[in-house]
This record gives sequence, C-alpha cells and structure tokens, in this order.
Amino acid sequence: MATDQPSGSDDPAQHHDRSAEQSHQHTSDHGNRPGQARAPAETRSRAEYAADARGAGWGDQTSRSGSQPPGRPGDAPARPDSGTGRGSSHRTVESDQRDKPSAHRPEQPGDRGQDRGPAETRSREAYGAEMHAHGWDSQRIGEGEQRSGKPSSHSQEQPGDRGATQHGTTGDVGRAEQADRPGAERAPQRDYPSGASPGPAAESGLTSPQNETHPQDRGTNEGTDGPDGHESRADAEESDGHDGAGDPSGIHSRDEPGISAETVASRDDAASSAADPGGFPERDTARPGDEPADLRRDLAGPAAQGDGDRDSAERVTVEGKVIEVTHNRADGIWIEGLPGEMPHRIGDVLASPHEDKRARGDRFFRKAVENADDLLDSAEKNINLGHDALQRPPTHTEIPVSVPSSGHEVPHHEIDAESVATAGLTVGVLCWAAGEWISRKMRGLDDAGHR
Amino acid sequence: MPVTDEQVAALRAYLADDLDQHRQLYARLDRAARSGYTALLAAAFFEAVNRRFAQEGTAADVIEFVADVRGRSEALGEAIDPRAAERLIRAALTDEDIDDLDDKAKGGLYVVLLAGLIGDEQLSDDGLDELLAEARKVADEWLR
Repeated sequence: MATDQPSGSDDPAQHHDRSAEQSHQHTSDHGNRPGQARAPAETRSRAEYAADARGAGWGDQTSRSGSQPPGRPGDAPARPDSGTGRGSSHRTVESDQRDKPSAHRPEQPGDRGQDRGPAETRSREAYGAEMHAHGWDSQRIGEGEQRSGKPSSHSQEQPGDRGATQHGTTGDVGRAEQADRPGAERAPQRDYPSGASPGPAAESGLTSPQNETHPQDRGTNEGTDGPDGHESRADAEESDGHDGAGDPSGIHSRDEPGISAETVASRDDAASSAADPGGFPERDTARPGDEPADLRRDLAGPAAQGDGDRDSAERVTVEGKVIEVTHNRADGIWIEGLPGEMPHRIGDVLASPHEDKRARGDRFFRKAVENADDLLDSAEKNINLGHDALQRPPTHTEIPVSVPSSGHEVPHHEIDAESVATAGLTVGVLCWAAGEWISRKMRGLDDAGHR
Repeated sequence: MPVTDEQVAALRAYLADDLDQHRQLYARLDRAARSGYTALLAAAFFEAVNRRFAQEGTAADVIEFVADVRGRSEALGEAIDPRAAERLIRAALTDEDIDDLDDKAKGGLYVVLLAGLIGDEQLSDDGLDELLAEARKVADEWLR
C-alpha cells in the first residue's frame, strides 16, 4: 500500500515514532549545516523551507492534526516570519536552559551526534512505551487540541520548544529530536514550567496544570525567583500585549538590543504563563533539586543566589548558634546533630529528634509563660514551700497503723488431741528415720570388717 | 534579652535549698531581669519535667509524683491543686491546654513542682549546674 510516509508504514503510531526518530536522523539536513551549498536559513521563505522538508521525504507528515506535526505534543509549526536560522534559536535555547532542568535542555548544536547515540539504538517498542508512559499518545494529542481550542503555538507548547516555537527555526526537526532525547523521557511532566502546557492530558482537561506542578516547586518558585524573578514579572506584563492577548502567533524578536538571554527566557516563560489560562501567573523559574547544586549555581550566577536568598532567608538558632537558612536547596541541607562543624549558612535544616522537644518547649513557653505578668510574684510567695518540696521523702516509710480489734482473742494454752497426735506422728517418723540411719551405719561397719 | 548569670545564680540558690541567698540574689534583679528569670524558671521546670517523664513517664506517674509532693508536708498538700499541677506537667509534655490556669496558680506550681522534681533527682552540684545550663539554653531560645 502506497503511503506518503517516508517510512512506508501505514500505522500512525509507528509513523509517529518513526518520524521522531527520523527527525533525529535528519536534523542536520535542513538548511543549518555549515558547508552546504544553500542560502542561509534567514533568507529562505516558508515555501522554500517546506520544499526542502518535502524533498527530505517528510514534509507531509502533519496532515493528521492540522498544523500539528506528529513529532510529539506541544510542537508548533515552524514560523515562517521568524526564521532567523539556528543562530537566534540557539540563543533562545541557551537562555531557556538557565531556568530548566537539564532533562529539558533543548538541543544544542554541539549535542548532535556527539554525546548520545542515534535514536535507532532504541527499539520501537521501548520508545513507544516510553512515549505512552508520558501520555504523549498521538490520538490524545489530537483530542486535546480540539477540546482546548487554543492556538497550537501555545496550547501544545513544551518548555523545550519555546524558543523554537517562537522563532520557528528549529521547527519540526528540533522538536522531534527533543522528543527523541533520553533526557526528555526521564523528565516528569510536572517539572515543566507552570505556564507551559504539561501535555495532552492537561490540554484535554484530564489533568490541570496546577495538579501537574509539584506544590513544593510552586512554593519555592514563588520565593526564589532569583535575579530575574522581578524582571520576569515585569516582562510578563509587558509581554501580555505581545503574546498573551495581542499576538496570537507568540512571536517576538530575540534581537532586541540590551536584553540579555535571561531576560528573553524570562519573558518567554512569563508570556507562556499569561497565555495559558490554566497556568500560574508567575513564572516557574527555579526548580531547586531538579539540577545539581553546582550546576544550578553556575546557571543562576552569584547575583541570583544573593537576591533569591535574601528574600526567603531566615535565621534559626541551633545549639546556641545562629544559622542562616536560605531555603534554597542549592545551598545544601544540614541535619542537626551531624558530626562536624555547624554551617553558618545552609539551604535547609532538618530537624533532629530533639526538634520535637524544642517545638514542645516553644509551645509550652507560649501557653505557660508568655504574657504571664503575675507569675513571678506568685512564685516568690511560694518560695518557702520549696524547702519542703526539696526534701525527698524516704524510699521505705513505716507508718504505724492501729487496727481495731473486732473479736475476743482466746489464748491457746491447752494441749488438744490433735496437737498430741501430730506430735506423736512426728516423733514416730523421726524415730523410724533414726533407726534406718543407724542400721545403715551398722551394715556399713560389718561390710568393712568382712573385707 | 538573654538569661544572665545573676538570674541563674538566683534560681540555683533556690534549688540548692539556700533560700536566704536566693532572696538576696532575687532582690537584685530589676523588673526586666525578672522577666528573664521567669523564663529561666519555666525552662528549668520544662527541662526537669522532660527528664523525669518524657522517656518512660505515664499519666499515672505524673499523678503519683504530684501526690508524692503534696504528701511531703501539710503546707504543700494545701497549696498544691493536684489537677492543676498534673495539667501543668502534662502541658510540658503534650499539647495540654492550660489557658484557664491563672498566672498565680502557675507561678506557685512552678517553684514547688520544680523543687519536688529536683529533690527527687538528688542532683549533685554538677548535675544541678548542668540542668540549669540546659534550662538557660532553652530560655534563651524562648526569649530570642
């Protein structure tokens, strides 16, 4: 049966998987590899790009879900008017990386074919099972999109696609490749930024983005926006006019002078949050614990650490020493009672078994001592009783107890028959025992004499 | 304001059954220092109760202890409300609510019950110093 799929397969699911793998294979074939006799990507029109893609044998794969390519949910079609090539896309990718776990790190030019094996090393069944496990079922994607009715650029947007979606340069290739990456499979969907759609399940209303986002992440993010947290909020408001409400395409220029990569990333995230009514209003920037501490520290930079910590830091006293607790997991965790020097500054302090006593002490102080003005006066009045209380009573106390006599006591002076019988029987037994003993002795002497 | 050495010395004199010295040292404390002394007294009571009952103590043990202290003298028997005393001890161990106990009752019970606990422990001078050091630490955390 003839198909228009390059794989020749009629099975949509297989094609879905296959396309992702193929896109990984052919990533470098779409106008971005240096040395090709081809005009730069910036100069190519949409039609030219489409022709190139078709020429590569996988240009018509998006027919099933309209503009949605089958690479994976959240992929948006390439933006023809933002085709600035890989240069600007790369910049976006880098900036997005700063706020995302490494598992979601979008494609880097140097990644391709260097740090990982080809997609074909995995079996089709394994890949399909993993994609299903993540809820990236092609059928559900289509349903979710129909129900949500959102523009595809936002409704299906994934964190790793953000830069590509808004720039439209990496397009299908980059997205399919990201879906194919092992790192993307490892990452749980709830780790996506709140503004971004976590997946088709959420899009279809089966799971809300709030439920997908870990509450701890949410709380931490609110407190540890870091240096660009303020920027991002301001930019979110600024960007609402571009992405959220005004510009359905979700495209804005990356080449604005004076805007750092962090700013651009912040704006992207905030804009996505604003665009998604189900998302959180604040951007989900820092996800402590999703990255190694040193990595995140490097990504955030010293200024980020400083600002974020100052906002949420508190001081606790442990064993008489004040510790600054930043509530930033990157600063590490210290457990009370551990051997070694007590830190001056730490991300969090875990309670030791003594914490229970301390908490009880605090409660006791609040309810028994605090605001008790008359307490000490009464205490001093009763200080004389302290002497009696301090005297420890003897452990064994003999207290004479007078027992009233309830009847007439009869003195036992007479010898009754029972006593005589008992005494006689006792004497008889004793005599018999003595006779036995004597006879044994005598027999023993006789035996010794015979020998 | 942290607990001072004078406050500790005043309480130590009381628990060492040297009431004359206690009165002298207590008289030197100004009003602000006496608030710290209150915290120290309560902290010492909290620490002593935890040492006595936190590990293996039961409600019956608390009742028995209060009855024992009340039986040490006629004055103590009259001065100590057994239910209030038991609740105050349980408040240091659990979430027992003692809001209905007035300050006067609590103040009197602190000194008497603390003396009873220390008397039962038969602490040496070092043991008493150790207990007061721990109480001072607790009081400092409360007052911080």
